[in-house]
Amino acid sequence: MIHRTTIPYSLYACIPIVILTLTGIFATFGGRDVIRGELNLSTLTLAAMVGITAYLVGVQARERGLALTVLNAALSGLIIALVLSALVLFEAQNDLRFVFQNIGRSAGGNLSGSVLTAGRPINAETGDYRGLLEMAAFCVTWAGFISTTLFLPRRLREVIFVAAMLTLTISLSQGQVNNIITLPDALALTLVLVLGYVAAVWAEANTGLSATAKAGIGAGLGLAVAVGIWLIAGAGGLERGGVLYGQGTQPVILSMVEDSRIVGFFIAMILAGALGAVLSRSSGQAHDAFWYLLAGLLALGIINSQRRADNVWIAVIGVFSVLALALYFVPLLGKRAQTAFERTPPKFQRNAQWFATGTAMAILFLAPQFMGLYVSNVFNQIALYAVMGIGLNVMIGYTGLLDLGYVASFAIGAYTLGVLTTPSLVTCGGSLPETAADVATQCTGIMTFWEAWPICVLFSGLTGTLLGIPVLRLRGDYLAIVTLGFGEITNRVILSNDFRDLLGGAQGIAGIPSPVIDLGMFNSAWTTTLSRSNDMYYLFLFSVIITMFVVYQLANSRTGRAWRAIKADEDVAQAMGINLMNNKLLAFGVSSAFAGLGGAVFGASVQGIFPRSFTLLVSINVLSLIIIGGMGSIPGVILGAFILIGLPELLRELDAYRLLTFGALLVVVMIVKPEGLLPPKPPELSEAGEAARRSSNMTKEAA
Amino acid sequence: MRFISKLSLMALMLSLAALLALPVAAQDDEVVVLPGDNIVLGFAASLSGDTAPFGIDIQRGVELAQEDRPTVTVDGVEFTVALDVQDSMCSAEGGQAVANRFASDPDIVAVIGHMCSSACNAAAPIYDSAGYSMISPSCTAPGLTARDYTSFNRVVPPDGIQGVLAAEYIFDVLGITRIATLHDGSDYGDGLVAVVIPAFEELGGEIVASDAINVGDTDFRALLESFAVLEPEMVYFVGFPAEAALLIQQFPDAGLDDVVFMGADGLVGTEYIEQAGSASEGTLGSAPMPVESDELDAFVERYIETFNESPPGPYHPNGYDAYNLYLNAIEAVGFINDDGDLVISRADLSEYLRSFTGYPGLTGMLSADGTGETSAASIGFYQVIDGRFELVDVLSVGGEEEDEEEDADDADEDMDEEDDSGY
Amino acid sequence: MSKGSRAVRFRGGGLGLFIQSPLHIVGTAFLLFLVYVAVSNIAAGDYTLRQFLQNLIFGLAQGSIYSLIALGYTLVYGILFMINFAHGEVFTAGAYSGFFTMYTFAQSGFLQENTLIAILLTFLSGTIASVMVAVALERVAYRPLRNAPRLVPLITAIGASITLQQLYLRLFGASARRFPDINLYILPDVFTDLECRVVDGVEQCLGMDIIGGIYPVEIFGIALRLRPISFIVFFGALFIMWALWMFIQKTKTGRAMRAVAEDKSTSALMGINVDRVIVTTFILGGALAGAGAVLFVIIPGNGQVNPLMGFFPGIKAFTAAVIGGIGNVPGAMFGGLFLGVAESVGPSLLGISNQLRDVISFGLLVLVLIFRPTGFFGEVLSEKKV
Repeated sequence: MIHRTTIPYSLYACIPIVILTLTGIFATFGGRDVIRGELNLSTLTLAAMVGITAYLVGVQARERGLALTVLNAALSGLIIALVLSALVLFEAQNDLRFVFQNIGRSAGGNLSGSVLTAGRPINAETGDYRGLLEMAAFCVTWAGFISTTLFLPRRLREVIFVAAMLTLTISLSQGQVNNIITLPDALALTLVLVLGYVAAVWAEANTGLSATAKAGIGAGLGLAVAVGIWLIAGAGGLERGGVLYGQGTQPVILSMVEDSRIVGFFIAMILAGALGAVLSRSSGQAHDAFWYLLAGLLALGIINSQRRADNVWIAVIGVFSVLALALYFVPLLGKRAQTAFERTPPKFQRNAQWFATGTAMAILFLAPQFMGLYVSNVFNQIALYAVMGIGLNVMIGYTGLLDLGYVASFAIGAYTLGVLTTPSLVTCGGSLPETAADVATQCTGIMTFWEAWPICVLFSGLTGTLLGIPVLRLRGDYLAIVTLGFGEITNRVILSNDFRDLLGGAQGIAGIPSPVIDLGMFNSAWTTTLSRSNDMYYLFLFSVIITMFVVYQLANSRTGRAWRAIKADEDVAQAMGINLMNNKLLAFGVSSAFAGLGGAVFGASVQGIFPRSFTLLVSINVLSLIIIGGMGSIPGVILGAFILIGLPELLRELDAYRLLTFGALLVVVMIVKPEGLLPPKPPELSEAGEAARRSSNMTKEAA
Repeated sequence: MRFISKLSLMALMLSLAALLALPVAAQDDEVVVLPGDNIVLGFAASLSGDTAPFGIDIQRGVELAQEDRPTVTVDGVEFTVALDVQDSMCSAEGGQAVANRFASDPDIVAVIGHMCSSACNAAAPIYDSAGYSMISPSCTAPGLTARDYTSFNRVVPPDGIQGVLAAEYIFDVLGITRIATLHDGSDYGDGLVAVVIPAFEELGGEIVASDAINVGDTDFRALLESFAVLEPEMVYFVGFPAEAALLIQQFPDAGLDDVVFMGADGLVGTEYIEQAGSASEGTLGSAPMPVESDELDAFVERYIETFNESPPGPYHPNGYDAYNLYLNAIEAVGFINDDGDLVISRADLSEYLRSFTGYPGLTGMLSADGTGETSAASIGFYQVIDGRFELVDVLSVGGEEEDEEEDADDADEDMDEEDDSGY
Repeated sequence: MSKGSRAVRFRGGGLGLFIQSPLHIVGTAFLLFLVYVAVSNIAAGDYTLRQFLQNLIFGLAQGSIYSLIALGYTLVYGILFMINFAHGEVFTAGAYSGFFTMYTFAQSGFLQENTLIAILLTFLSGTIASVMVAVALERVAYRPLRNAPRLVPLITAIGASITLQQLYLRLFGASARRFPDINLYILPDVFTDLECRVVDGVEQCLGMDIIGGIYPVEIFGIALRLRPISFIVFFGALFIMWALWMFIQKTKTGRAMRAVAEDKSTSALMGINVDRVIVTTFILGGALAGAGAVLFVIIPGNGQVNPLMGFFPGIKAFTAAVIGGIGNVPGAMFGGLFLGVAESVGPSLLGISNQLRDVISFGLLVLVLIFRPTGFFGEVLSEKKV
C-alpha cells in the first residue's frame, strides 16, 4: 500500500522545507506576484517544495500503478502539510522573532497569515483553523496531481515541465522584458518565416526545384507579406488600436514602413522569408535555434500585448502554449531538416551555414536596439562573466590548476585602464595636478580606451605570469589557497591608503571616459560614444567573440593538448616531454590576460572603478559558472553565465536568496552531475585528433 | 569567387543591421500617465546586507511621506503615486543595474535614491543619458555635484560641510587638539576623513595618526595599541556600527579608556548602541541635522508608532523630503493633454529640481543652487547618554544665520578643492 | 605524504632548475629586507618592547583560535585529502548556538547566579551545534563524492560554505548579535584590591574578574595591561590540543584514524569502518571549531556574532594550517599561533598600515611555501602524520 520510502522521503524533505520556512521565504516572497493578481511567488515556492517531494516519492511508487502512486504522493503532501501546520501553530504560540529575524515581515510578523495559512490568519480563540486546512488540502491535491504526470510519456512530461518553468520565468521578469518586442512584430516575423518554411517543404515534396529556387520562393513570399503590411499600414493599420498596433506598445519593426526605413523593412522581410525556406533544410542545431528564438519572441510579444489587459491568464496560457508547442515540435522538425540538409550538395550546405551564421550575427547585432537598457545590461554582465569564465577555464578546465584568486587579474585589468585613461600619477608625469588647468597641461599621457585596452590585457597577462612563478611547484589545494591569498592581497592593496595617489584608495577611480568609436574620416555622423549599456553591448560582444576565438584556437593546438596532459597527470605529462613550467606559465598568463580584458571593459562600462567590486565573490562566481556549465567547455561556460549571472539579474527581487541558491546549486550539480551541465566531448575530440595524426603520418610515409 | 560571395553576404547582413539599428527612435523624454494609472517613482537603496538598516530607514521615511500624500492633482485630475522599490545595494554594480532598470522602464517618472555614494556615482551617468532625475537622500560624497551630472540632486548636506563642521566642533567646542583618524575603507569613510584631516590641521590641531580598518576584521587591538603610543585625545572613526562597536569595546585593551571616541552619520542610530552595549556611553557622533521643528518631532513620533522601533538610521526625514519634492515638481510641471493623459516632461522636471526655492522640508528650508545641492541643513552633534544618542550641539556653516549663504559658497569652493585632490 | 602535497621538481624543463634557486634568492632577499625594516624601526625608537609584549599577548589569544579552527582543516585533510572549505561556517554555528544559550541565561538571571555553569553549558551548546553542522555537511555534501576527482569535493565545499553563510544570514538576520557581558569573579581573598565598589557606604571587593576584567601589571618595569581571559583562552586552547593529540595517539579510535589516513582501502580490509572514522574526524573538527567559537566570542571586545564571522577566520586558519603543513596536528597548532602573532605584531613592527595586515598573512604564506612547499612541518613529519 504505502511504499517503504514514502514516509522517510517526506520527512527528509521536511528538513529543508522547515529551515527555509524559518528563513522567512514565504514572507519575503509573499509580496511578489508571478502572475499579476493571481499567483504569488510564495504559493509557487510551496508548490515547488511539495511538487519535488511528490515527484521523488512518486518515482519510487510508480511501478505499483497510478492509484497507489497518487496515494503515496498525496501522503507525502499530507506529511509536509502536517509538519508545516505544526510549525505554524508553534510559531503562533511562541514569538521566535528574536532568533529567526526574518521569519515574517507582515503586520503580525509571523507565519500565520502567509501562504501557509492560505492568507487567512489562524485564530486560536475562535478556533478558526480554516487557513491551515486549506493549505493542507492544497498540498495533498497538488502532490497527487504532480504524481500523475509520471504516467505521461517522458518527452511530453519534459516539454510541459520546461515550458512551465520558462513561462514562470518570463512572467516573473515581466516588468523587464515586456518592452522587447510587440506582438504584431513577432507575428509578422513568424508569418513570413512559417510561410517560407511551409512553401519550401511543400516544394520539396511536390516539385523538383533546386534549393536556391526554394529560397527564392521564400523571399517572394516575404516580399508579398511586406507589401501587404505596407498596404494595411497605408490604410491606417498602424494607428493606436489599429490592426497592426494591437494592445501593447507601438510596434518597432512594423513602424519602419512609415518612414525612410521602409527599404530596410522590405529587405528584412525578404530575408526572413528566404531564411524560412533555408531552415527547412538546414543543420538541426541552426533550425532549432532559430525556431526557439522565434517562439521566445512570440512569447515576449504576448506579454507585451497583455501589459494592460485585465485577464492575465490569457497571456500566461498563450505563452505556455507557444513555448510548449515549440519545444514539442521543433526537435521533430529539426530531425527532418537535418536529414534533408545532409542530402543537399556540399556547396549548398556551406552557403546555408553562412546564411544562418550571417543572420545570427545580424540578430546579435540588432538585439540591444530591442532589448532596452536593462536587458542589455544583463547581457553585458553575462558577457563579462563569460569572458572571465572562458579565461579561467584555461587554468581550471584545461590545465587543472585551481585558481581562487582570479579577481586579482580582473582588478589589475580594470585599474590599469583607470590609471591610463584618467588624470593620474602615470598619465600626468608623476604628480597629481592641483587644478583643471594643470590637468590640461601636465596630463599629456592620458590614453583613450582603445589605446589603453591592449595594455591592460598585456599587463594583467604579464602580472599573472609573474604571480605564477612562485607557485609553479604547488599543486591542487596549496595552489588554491595561495591564489586566494593573491586575490585578497590585491583587494587590500587597491583599498589601502598607501597606494591612494596611484589607485585612488577607497574612492576608486571615477570619471573613466567611455570608449568612442570615431569613424569621422568616413562620415562625420559616424562617431558614437559607447556610454549606455545598449551601446556597450557591442564592446562586450566583441570581447566574448575574441575570447572564444583565441581560447578555442589555443585549446585545439599543441599547447592545448599539453595543458590537458598536465591536467590528466602532471608526472606522466612531464615524462612525455611536456615542459611543465612553460605550459603552466602560459596558462597563467592567458587566463589572466582575459580577466584583464574583462576588467578593462567592466571599468569602461561602469565609467569608474570602485574597490568594493573586486572581492572574493567575483572569483567564486566565475569558478561556479565554469563548474556548473562544464569544465573545459566553452558553450558550457556561456550556459553557466546565463544561469548564474543572467537569471538572478532578471529576478532581482529574489536577490536575498540568490547566493543561497547559488551555493546549493554548486553542491547539487557536483553531486548529481560532476562534469557540469554541458561538458566537453572528449571522445570526439580525441578521435578527430587520432584521425588527424593518422592522416599526417600517412602523408609523411607517402612523402 | 565563393569567398567573395560570402563576403558580400556578410556585408548584406551587416548593412541590413545598420539600416535597422541606426535610425532607432530616441528615448521618450515625456512620461505619459493614462487616467487611472499610477505615477511611478523609482526608489533605490541598500535593502540587503550590512547597510540595510539605513536603506530600510530611508524607505520608511518615503513610505510615511506616501501615506501623507498618496496622490498628485494636476489640472483637477488626481493620480495615485506608486513606488517601485529596488535594492541597489551599496555598490557600483548595484547602482548600475538598478539605474539601467529604471531607465529602461518608460513608466518611471524619476528616482528617489540611491543610498551610497558608489551607487550614486554609477547611476548618475545612466540617468543623465536617459534624461531622468534622481534625488538622493543620503549620497554625501562631495564629488557628486562637481561632476556636472544633470540628473543628480540631493537633499542632504555633502560631506564637505559635515567634515569641516566636525573638525570645528572637535577643536573649538571640545577643545581637543590631538586626534587619530580611522575609517572603514568605504568610499564614504575615506571621503569624510579626507575632509576632516585638512580642516582640523588648518584650525591648528594635530593629526597624530591616520589609518583604516578592513570590514570583517574583528581584532583591532594591535592597531589601537599603536594609536595609544601616540597619545591622542580622541579617535575619530568614520564607518558603520558593527566595526565601531568592536573598536570601542577594545579601547580598554590598549589603554585608551579615557580617550574620546567620535563617529559620523554612519554611527548615529540605535544599531551602534545595541552592538556596543555599555561601552557606547559617551561616544560622540555627527549627522546632518534637520532644523528642529514641531513637524519633525511629530514625524519621528509617528515613525516610532508606525514601525514600533526608533529609527535605525538618520536619513528618514531626507527620504520624506525627496518624495515631497518630486510631488511638488510633478504638480508644477505636469499637464493634462487632449486625451486626458498626464504628461510630465523629464526635462522640465529636471529644470524644476535645479531651480526651486524655499521648500520647507522636514530637514529645513530647501533651495536648489543649480548644481544639485539643495540642502541648507546644519550638522547636529550627538552623544550617547544613558543608552541614547542625545543632541548636544548644532553647528551650521559660518555659525550665524545671516551669513549662511555667503559661507555656503565658501564651503563649495572648499569642496571643489577637496575633490580635485581626492584622487 | 600524499601524492597531492608532494613537491614537484622540474626534472625535465631546463628553465625549471634555473628558476628554482633564483626563487630562493628572491625569497631570502625579501626576508632580509623585512628584518632590515624591523630593525631600523626599532633603532629609530618608534617601537618599544612594551608594545611588542602587548601585541604578542593579543596575537597569542587570536592565534589560539586560529589553531583550533586550523586543526579542523588539518584533521579532515589528513584523512580525506580535501579542504573542508565550509569549516569556517561550522565555527559560526558554534558561535550562534553559544550566543543564544548565553543570551537566554543572561536574560533569565541564571548567568549572574551560576556563572561558571552557564559558561560550561554555553560551551556545550556551541560544541554540539558545530558538531551537528559538521556531521550534516559530511553526510550531505561530501560522502556522495568519496571517490570523485579531487577538485569536485572542493567545489562542493565552497558551495556548502556559501549555502551555510546565506542560511545563517536569512535565519538569524544580517545584523550582528552582541554576546552578553560576562563577569566571573574569583579569589576575593587573594585579590583584595580588585573590582572594588562602594555598596551602601561599604567598600566591597569581588576579587579578580577572569572574564571581563583587565588589569595593569608591571613586569620587569614594563607596564602592561592584561586580561586574564587572554591566558585562559591560550592555555585552554593548548589543553584542548593536547587532549586531541592524546586521543589520536592513545585511543583505539585515534589509531583507526591514523590507519585510515595512511591507506583507506587497506584499513577497510583490516576491519576498520572507514565511514565511521571519517564521521569521527568531522565530529572532532566540529567540536574544536565550536569550542573555539565560544572561546572567541567570550573575549570582551570580540563578542559579535554575525553570519559571515566564520569566513575570514576560516580562511586565515586554513592559511595557518598550510603554513604549518596541512594534515599535521602540531603544524596546525604552530601555524595558528604563528599567524596570530604575525598579524598582531607585524604591522607596527614593520611600520605597515593596518589596512595591509592581511598582506602580511598571505605574504608569509607565499614565503613559507617558496622555501618549504609543504609547510613548516609537512615534510618532516610526513611519516607519522595523522
